Amino acid sequence: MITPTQNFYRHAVRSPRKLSTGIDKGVDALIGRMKRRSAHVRKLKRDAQKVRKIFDGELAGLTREELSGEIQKLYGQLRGRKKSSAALKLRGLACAAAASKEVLGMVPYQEQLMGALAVEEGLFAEMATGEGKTLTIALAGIVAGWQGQPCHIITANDYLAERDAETMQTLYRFCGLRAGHVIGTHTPSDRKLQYQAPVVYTTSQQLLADFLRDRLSLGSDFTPAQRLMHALVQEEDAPEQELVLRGLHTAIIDEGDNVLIDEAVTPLVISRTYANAPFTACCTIARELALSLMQGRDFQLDRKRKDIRLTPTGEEVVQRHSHRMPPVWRSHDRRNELVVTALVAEHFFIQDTHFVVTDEGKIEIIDEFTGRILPGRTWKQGLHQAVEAKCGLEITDPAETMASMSFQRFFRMFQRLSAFSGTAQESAGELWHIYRLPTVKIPTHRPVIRKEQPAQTYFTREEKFAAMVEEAKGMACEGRSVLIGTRTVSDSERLAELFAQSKICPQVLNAVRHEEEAQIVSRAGEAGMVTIATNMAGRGTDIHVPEAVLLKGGLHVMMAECNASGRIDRQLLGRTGRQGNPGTYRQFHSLEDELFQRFLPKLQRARISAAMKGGLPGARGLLLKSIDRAQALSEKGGVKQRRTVLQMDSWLDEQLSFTRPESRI
Amino acid sequence: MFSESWHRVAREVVTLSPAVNARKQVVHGEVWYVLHDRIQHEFFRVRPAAWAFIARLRGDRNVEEVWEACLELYPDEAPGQEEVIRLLSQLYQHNLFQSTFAPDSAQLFDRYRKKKQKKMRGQMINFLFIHLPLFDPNRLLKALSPLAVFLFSRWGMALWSGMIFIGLKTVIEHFGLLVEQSEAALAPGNIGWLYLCMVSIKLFHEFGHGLACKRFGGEVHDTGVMLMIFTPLPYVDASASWTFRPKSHRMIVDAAGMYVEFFLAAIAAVVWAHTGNTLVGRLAYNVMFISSISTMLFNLNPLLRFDGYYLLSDGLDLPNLYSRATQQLKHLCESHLFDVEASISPAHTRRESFWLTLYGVASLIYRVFLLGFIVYQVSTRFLGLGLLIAAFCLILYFVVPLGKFLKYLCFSERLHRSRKRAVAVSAILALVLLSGISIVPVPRSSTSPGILQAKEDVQIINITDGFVAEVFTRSPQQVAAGDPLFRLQNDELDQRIQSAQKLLSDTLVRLEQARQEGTLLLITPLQREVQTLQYLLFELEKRREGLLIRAPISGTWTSPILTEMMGTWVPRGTEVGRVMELSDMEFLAVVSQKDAAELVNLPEAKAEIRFPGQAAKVFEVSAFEVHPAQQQNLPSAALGWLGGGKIEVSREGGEGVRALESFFLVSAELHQTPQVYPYQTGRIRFYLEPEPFLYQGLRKLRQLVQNRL
Repeated sequence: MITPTQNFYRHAVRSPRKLSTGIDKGVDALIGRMKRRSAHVRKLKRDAQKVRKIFDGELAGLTREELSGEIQKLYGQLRGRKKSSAALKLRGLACAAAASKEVLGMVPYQEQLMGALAVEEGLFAEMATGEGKTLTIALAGIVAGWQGQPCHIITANDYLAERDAETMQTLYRFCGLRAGHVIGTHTPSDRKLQYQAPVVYTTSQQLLADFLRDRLSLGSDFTPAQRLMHALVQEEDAPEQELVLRGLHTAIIDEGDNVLIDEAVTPLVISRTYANAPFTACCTIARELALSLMQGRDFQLDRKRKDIRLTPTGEEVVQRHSHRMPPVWRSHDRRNELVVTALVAEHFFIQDTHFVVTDEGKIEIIDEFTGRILPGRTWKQGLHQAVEAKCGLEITDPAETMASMSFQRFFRMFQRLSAFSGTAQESAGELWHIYRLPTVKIPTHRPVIRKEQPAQTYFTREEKFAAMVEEAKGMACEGRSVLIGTRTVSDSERLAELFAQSKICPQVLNAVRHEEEAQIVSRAGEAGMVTIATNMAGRGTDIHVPEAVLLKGGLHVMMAECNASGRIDRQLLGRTGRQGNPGTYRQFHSLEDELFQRFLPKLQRARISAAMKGGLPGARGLLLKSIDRAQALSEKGGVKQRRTVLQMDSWLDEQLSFTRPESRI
Repeated sequence: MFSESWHRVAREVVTLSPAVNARKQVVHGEVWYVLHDRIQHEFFRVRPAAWAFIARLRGDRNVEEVWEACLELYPDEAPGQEEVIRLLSQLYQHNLFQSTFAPDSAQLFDRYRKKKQKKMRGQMINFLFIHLPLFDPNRLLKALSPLAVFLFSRWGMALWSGMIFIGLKTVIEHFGLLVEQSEAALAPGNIGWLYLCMVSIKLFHEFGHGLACKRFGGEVHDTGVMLMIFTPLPYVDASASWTFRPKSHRMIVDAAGMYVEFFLAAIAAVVWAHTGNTLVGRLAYNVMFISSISTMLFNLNPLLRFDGYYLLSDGLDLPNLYSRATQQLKHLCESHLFDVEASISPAHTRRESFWLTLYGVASLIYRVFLLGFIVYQVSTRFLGLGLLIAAFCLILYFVVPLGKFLKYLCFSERLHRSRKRAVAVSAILALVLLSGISIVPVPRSSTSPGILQAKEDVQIINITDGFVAEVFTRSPQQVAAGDPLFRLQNDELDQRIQSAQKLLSDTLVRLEQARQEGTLLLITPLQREVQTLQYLLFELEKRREGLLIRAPISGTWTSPILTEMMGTWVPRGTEVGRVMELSDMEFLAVVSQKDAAELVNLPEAKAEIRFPGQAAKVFEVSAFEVHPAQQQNLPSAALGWLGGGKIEVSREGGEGVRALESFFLVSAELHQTPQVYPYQTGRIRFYLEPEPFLYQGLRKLRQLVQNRL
């Protein structure tokens, strides 16, 4: 039986605060800077020391049963309180730490305690990779779970959600809680069960999709007040059972920069397909037409902006053939739109880089940031069909949007938001502006002894790959383990091919072969093992390196290409040298790299190329410099893109404020 | 075609609000539908395809169903999902439709607040034209509707034409007097009356618009006071005429104000002609002056946003002429200079494009000049505050647009393909402009008032009083030195001479007797007496000689009074006339200190003189000389304020020649002798050394500030 109050809180969400603009924004940014200053880290440190004192003092001598009793008492004190006293929370954290020692045998470091405290403060904590974030988040999750409000822990992917929930389950159980996890394969009834747990591990996509589905099922009785009225007036309230979520209150986000920034570019869309025969027929015709057009004469192509425009001659060609299209699509704007979409699919969407084709002949989109497949995700109407036409697949019915929401808006609905990541400093301003999360840097437990080897530069991709294979072989023979990170699926396959001639048989981890992920990762640290992975192996992947390999120098990470954001690079490189272990990494660049081609002007590329050919002494430095520049440009473009998404969001809200509130999701 | 946000509107059931009327309008053969909300007075114009969609929103089907129906009926033209969403949101922003559920009130209030803020900001920015609504004139206009019907009927127009004819006839008959009085119209004493007349005339003018609008079925609900450049004037909001279908009706409403004014002008002309220089006459003159001249200058001018603008806009069938002309200029600039392909002209036809461009360019030039003029006038007229207002104007109309342009240049998405070119073109243009005003010297001149004087100019003053007896030379006439001019007669003088002579001869006799008698004691006094008498006689003779007045120099003899004085008594020391050498004249200019300072360094500067009434004739100056000391007294009272000149003079004493600011006198030699009499006032123009525009402007500014501080 759900009480009316509980029911109320299930649907109550905080409406997102308006973003400041103009001068206000400048002042706000200054406030953000104030909140990021080191005094906050010092306060976290003091609090962590207090926790440590409790942990070492009164809790040290307790037996398992006594600790359990203590936890029961605390649970009772914290539960249901909106605002518990700070001292009580510190004590709670100390208990959780004691439980961790008792159950898992892991004693949290001071840095981990600081991280857990940052959650209470609502901060974005930057913790270096390999500092034990899983335990940190679990400790924070336990304290939040004790408070009785729904607590969602957002992980970077399904694999991590499941892994973390399971590894920490015993700890949660000991603390009188339960950790649920929701992943893509769960059925609605599974989900409902899992969401009942005090602490739920899931991904942002799953959570937002469930949230939207709940909203859709609520229909017009949208606001909690309206629902409460209905519940009081009407006898039966059937839709109650259909709701999956328990409400939104606390969110702890692991890999926060990925969730809050990289993925926030595309809003989450819930859609349904519907039959539209003229349209699907049209896609094939448009593709044929598009192939007959000539670049330069009929259309112009802007790689940097991924933009295609028809020239007047091109429009004429389309007009001549428009009679083949169904009448609805014959008008000037529409036929051109179709052809342009077909051209975009042709030139900018590349198999195994942007998508893979499954054995069943379906298109699966690859997330550019994580290298993972986004199951069930489609591009917008028209584009998806155009790509299907391009690959000669059967054209699916278009999907009609039923609800959509940007992550930027969704995460601002939480009462309490906090996040972790190894890489956040680059986006501190944006994180504050949009989510009001001050970024603080938690020091590492042990000094980092990971070493960078000088970056290598090559003319062509093939030269680069050959050199990488050589180096990997050498390292493997020395008895070290090697991780090669590529940007695209096709690159990883190509590298694997190059290894085929040698004795070494590398493991390949990419969007196509993702089933064995856990197994591949667990073997990646072995001596002489070469693992080729897309960005999948970046976030959250913990590669265990045996003692013998560590003595030889640890894991060697080779980065095949720079990514669009420096944060993604740092994630990959952070796979080695974890927890103060030794490790090395090296970056490989070639003039054919995508980042280079897309963001640097032709003239500059030609200059670098000439300098390298001439063997000029500064050529390599120049290349490295311009890579930094290209990356900065790319990141700037990303910031702009996200700002546009956000602006569109609020603009639409304003423009369409005549629509029903429930359709506004 | 498809929109990601379609789900947000698809299931809405919306209808046009009942207060909305739709009318078909054909503009240049293109069909439009104008939606008009009578309650909130909002307008919106849509194309037929959009109208076909809107018309089907009747509350019985939701948006998606209506859209699908449209798609089936007009597969080619029906709006796509994106267009439908845009259309709906625009309609909503204009409050033209209603939904079946309670709207988002927070959003509504927010919109209301924003709208109010925008209006406030609009008022702040348009602080030269602030509207203060006062009351709803609807009932008044309703009561006056018979008048309105008559005014704009055939009979009314006939009456109007007749009255205008009579008025014009009167004016032509009294044209001389009319011109004569025109100077008095702008005299300081008349300004108050002028303003009063202006207010009442404009009230009639505005109600003319209101009546015309009412006559053709428009609603008029707003009357109030408009502060035009801080001058309160009445206004009536007749914008309902925008929905009138026939172009002629719209144009009649636009012209109605002037129609009324010209009628008033004609009446005033007749009144003025029959009252002369009484108060009524002067008022009538003011009315005539304002409702003809000012109406021609301001209301008819299409470059100002008064009646002329709307007449032109309606006449050419180009609504929103001004903003579209601005857009057209922007489009031309984008497509030709910046190479922006996506730029779309606001003109639908070649003809429209021609008119929009023409109007855009004309109004741009006009605005630049108007801005310069207003800034200059305001800053020179009012102390301190004037400079502040001028600075504010500059920021508002120059700095802000410049900032916007820079923002557009740097960040606009429209330029993403051709930003480099746009920046380069703008930079080049800016450079050309800057170098134009800072390097290319521009001729520069300064003008000063002055007076023409003969170099040799002798006042003829009689040293002996007497009756005018004889005039030898009529004035004006050329005389040689020594020529007799006129003779006075003084009988008393003659008698005194006679008696003095008699006394002298008597005394001489007595002196001779005394010598002979040897009465030595008497000799000396008598000798003295003789001397005295001789001296007296000499003096008297001299005075008698003074009765015949001769030309002291050769030149032109002028005496405005002499002929009238024939036979009258002329007291001693009267200025009877002058003899001047007209072939040798100089121009004495009153030059301000700042100009004089420059002239001293430019002894070779070219200069020329013009005289009023002969403005076309230019007299070149061969040489000039700056008198080395500052002066305070004007060479003639005619140059000062009190004498009708432009120089400020002290009102106390000095007969209007004591200038408030000291000045320098510059005497200029003329090349050829003008056919002008001396004492003619005129203006001298000194051509100073050419200087780039920028420096000239800066100097002016500096002088302005210095003068104020």
